[in-house]
Amino acid sequence: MSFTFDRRNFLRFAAGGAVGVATSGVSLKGISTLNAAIDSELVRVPSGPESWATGVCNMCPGGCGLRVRLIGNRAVKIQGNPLHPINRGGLCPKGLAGLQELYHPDRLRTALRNTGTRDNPRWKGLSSDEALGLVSERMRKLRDAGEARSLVVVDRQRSGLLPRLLSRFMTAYGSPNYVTMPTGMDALQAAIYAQQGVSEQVAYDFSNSRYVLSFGVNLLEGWGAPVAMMRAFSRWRDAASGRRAKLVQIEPRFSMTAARADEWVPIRPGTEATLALGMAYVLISEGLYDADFVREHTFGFEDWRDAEGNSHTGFKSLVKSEYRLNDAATVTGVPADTILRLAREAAQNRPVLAIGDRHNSSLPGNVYAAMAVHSLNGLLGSIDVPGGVLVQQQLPGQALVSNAKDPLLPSAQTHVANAGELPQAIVSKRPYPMQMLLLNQVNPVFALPNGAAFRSAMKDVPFIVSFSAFLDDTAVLADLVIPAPTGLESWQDGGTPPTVANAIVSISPPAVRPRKDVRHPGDVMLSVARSLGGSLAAALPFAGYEEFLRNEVNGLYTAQAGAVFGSTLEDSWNRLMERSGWWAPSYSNADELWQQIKKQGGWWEPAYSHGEWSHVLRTKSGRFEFYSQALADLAKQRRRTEKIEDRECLPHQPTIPEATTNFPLLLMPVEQLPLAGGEGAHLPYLQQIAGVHVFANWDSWLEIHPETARTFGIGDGDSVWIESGRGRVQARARFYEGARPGVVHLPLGYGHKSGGEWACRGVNPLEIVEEQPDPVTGLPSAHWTYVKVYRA
Amino acid sequence: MIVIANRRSWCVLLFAVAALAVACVLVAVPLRAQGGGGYFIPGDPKAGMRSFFDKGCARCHSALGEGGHSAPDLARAPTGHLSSAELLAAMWNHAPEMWEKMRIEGVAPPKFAETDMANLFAFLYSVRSLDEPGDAERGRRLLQEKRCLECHGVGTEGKRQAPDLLKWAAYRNPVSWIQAMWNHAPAMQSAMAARGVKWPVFDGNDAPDMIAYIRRSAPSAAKPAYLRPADPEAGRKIFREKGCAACHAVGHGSRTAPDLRSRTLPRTLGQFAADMWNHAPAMRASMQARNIARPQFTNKEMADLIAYLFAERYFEPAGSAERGARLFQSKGCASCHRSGGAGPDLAGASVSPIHIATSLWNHGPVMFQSMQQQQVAWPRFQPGEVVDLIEFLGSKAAHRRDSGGRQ
Repeated sequence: MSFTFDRRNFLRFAAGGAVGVATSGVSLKGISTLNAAIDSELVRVPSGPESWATGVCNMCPGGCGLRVRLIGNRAVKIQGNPLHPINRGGLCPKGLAGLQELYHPDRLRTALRNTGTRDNPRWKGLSSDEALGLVSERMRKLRDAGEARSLVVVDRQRSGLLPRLLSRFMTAYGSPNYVTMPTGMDALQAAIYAQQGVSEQVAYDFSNSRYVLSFGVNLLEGWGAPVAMMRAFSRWRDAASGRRAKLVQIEPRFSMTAARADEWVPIRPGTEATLALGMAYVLISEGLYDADFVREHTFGFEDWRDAEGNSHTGFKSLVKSEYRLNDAATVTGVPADTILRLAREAAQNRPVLAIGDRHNSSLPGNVYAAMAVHSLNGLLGSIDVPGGVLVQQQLPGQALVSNAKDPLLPSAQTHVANAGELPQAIVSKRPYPMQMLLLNQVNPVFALPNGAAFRSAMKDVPFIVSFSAFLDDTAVLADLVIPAPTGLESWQDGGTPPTVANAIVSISPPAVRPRKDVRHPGDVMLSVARSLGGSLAAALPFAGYEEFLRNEVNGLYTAQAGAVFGSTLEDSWNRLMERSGWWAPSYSNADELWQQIKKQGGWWEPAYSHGEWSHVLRTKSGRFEFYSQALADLAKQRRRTEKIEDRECLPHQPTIPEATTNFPLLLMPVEQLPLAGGEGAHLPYLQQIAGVHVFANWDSWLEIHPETARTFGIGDGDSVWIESGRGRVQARARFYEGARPGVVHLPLGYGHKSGGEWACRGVNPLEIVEEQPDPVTGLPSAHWTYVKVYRA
Repeated sequence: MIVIANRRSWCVLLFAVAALAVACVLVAVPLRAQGGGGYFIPGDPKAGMRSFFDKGCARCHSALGEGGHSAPDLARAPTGHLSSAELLAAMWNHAPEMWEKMRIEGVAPPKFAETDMANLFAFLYSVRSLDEPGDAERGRRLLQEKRCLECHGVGTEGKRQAPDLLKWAAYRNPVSWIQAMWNHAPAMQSAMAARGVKWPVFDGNDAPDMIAYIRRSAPSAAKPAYLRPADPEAGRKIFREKGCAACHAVGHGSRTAPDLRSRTLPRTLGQFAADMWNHAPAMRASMQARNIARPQFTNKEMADLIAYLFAERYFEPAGSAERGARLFQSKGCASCHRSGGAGPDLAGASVSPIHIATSLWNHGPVMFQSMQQQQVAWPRFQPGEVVDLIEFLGSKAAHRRDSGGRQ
């Protein structure tokens, strides 16, 4: 890479790389811009006594606990809650930037009603009570007209107590359409369902694993529960733990995770499944797999016959015939001796975790590729063992009600009802038209690969309500926008974050008085329930969200298990006790539990029972299925035939689209921690620390290998067009030797069209990616877009 | 019970830790307070766990998996039940190895206050009495071997003559299982006799293993049912009120059944409960012969009862001062620990396992170094020898020695 490491660049690098510098507000580029980000209220020196409050970070699904320092009623500092089992006092840059979100000048101050059209909105301010009345009125009319099912709620989070409230609301109201935004883990989740039969979230015991094979997963860049992941990463390198785990990062690009891994294995894009199956070939050929587990707890390893006497291909035959070592090496570009070594190392360093197919926190991968990777976990006996793949514990209390009956979205069949399918459902009006859309702090127009289709489809929805703190790309198309509070202004709760096994409930009271006329979505829905009365009010008989939370805590108490957040020592103690069949709570009644939760930040289940096969292997066979009978049933049901190919049920390498003459370069969008999940661009602190590896921030950049760039006559820093069959966007080219020749990368999270001054910078790569719905789940995938790049 | 030389100071220590003990959980490792008749733990197990981590024990050792893995798990090794004296003996005998390892790793041996050591002992004693999660695979084999499935079912397995064991899959504590089984033992005994099934005997981790298998076989993750902390004081009352004392003595000599203070204890509470089950037919026959009503228990009552009996076994029965005096000479202690010797004169010292363990860590490394220089071997003790030695040091004989008397 051509780069002069002069004093100015050095300072920029230091500023971007050091979170402390970034979050202290010391800006080295555009200090005036940063200063402008600060609400005028902050200029006044706060007065009053110092105090500390607990909080729950809602900047990402990571579920960290917060400690908030207050001077008077002014929150002046955020840090991690040392008692919280997820982050133990740590916090990532996004969490630290939560303070800037609280005081953000672009936050909505009141509810807004669009009195114009969707294309040409005219916003009129109204009180939150007036907004509530509007929502109630529309919902009443809908229900009275017998069209309750045509209400759709799109929720931001999947765990915690607010989803429980919303789900209960929808069930009582009469709609099966409670859906969530797709996440990067959805394909993997579908693979877990196919092979283990569980719909609970998959979890990984990273801390106790000895060998981690990451097939393109951006483990250290905002994936899963970022701070918990960082803590596990540090544990792998902690000499006191007595052993060092090895992280192998397999992906085409030299990502931040690859840079910090023990070994980076560059691979031809999209061939991760072949590599996984090539490793399986080695394990099987050399007898290195866990024969006991395979014999006792798996199905479809060997060739088999069904009840009708039809023979089927087993995993072993598939691997031995189609994924031989040399073939795998040819397809993946990974030398055969590397594949051989990785397989042997994995077999010798159990417990092993194999994670993938490639995904970041917002773009799902391919289900068959995820099955290929997960099959390594089955082969190596990593299912539900310490250091292996676990199944997330369910929270005590009333479980989420299944809404799968008569749903609007077909993906409910595979336990992943996602908003990506809504545009088609809205436009087709099948199986019935959507009459009302309620968006809870989501921005699908920006965040979905088919955001443009979503935007277009929204025109067909008669009434749209958005809970949002900002007038973002989606809220700006709504009929009614109700300002959502930021994490510090209202009762907050968080559930078990992705990839974490132990059930967790984080709860915190408001740390500061609301700065705007905001309403918590939970309070709004409870008010609507009261207003509509009848069975809806009976299902949610709570005066407010605090009362709802209090009621849920009663459920935790009734469970007679778990513990309030405590020190690591207390957690160890509680874990010892529960493992041995004893429960020694720090509280004697539900009131004490509630008070302790408010003070310490939450409740969790510190112990996990391994090897409860009936719980973690709920397939038709009760075993880990290399050959997924669930996929067989799904294929038969969809195609209404008994004749299906074995290939449809077995892990395999998905077809890789070829580059064309017109579009010779592969575009792979990438994610980085500051803007993980596509969120955070509205916060200047995060803009400042993004893109440090290419010395670019506050704007999009195109990562391109210098050789590739020269081929196309592009220089470092040139403004270029990136054009696909869908359209084109403009960014500045940055030479990056970590990019594979022939592959270019655009960062996700940039390019908002609405949402404030700082959010609307750069370009959104999702505007030009070619969407390829997954053949099994229908999940939106955006990993295969060929583009051409030329100077602007 | 060990006779403490300086009762006043010992009582002061007891008083100090008694307050902590109230908040303690589970296996209150008790000490009969002098004259008080109450059962208190001479230390706080939870605070002891803090010492276990803060003093660096957990760098190498673990306790039921919590901590380091380069040295034995102290909840599992040595095997079997360990009284405080046995804990001390194990610690003493392995101390030189530990110090050598610390020296190699550049770690200074930790210092302890007596309270810290009392807490650490309480923790180790408590954690050693906890049952571990079982091995489901072994449990499956045991259910077959012990012929449980000839009457009971476990889901689709087994017969249906007796209730499906999945009904109790939520029970996590072996004591709960044994309590339920104990209450139904007469009926089960009759049923087994009718079928020619031998009374099943549970050793070691048999019960937790079988429970693990039953839990694993449950169709969905059952809400776990735990036991609340046991209360040894309540257990003492139960021992009297349920008629146990009619046959068993606890440290007051033999009656018709074994003295439960002298009997070898299993390591864990669940294993003790299983022992009760193993002897249920014999006990029933004995009770019938003596026209004593067979007691029934709630799971809490059984937990309290076992906690009481474990509490009684924290201390060894009194040792022999005479044997202690001989050991003091033969182990080489007397060559330094005498008036005018290289080590402090131990005569009349307030001694207890906790006191000695504290001294071991605070002064032992220097003592060991000195002994190495003089090419004197580190003395090793059997647990009984420790008790004898303590008895000797605390005895009036030691005082007499101090004033010129002969041993």
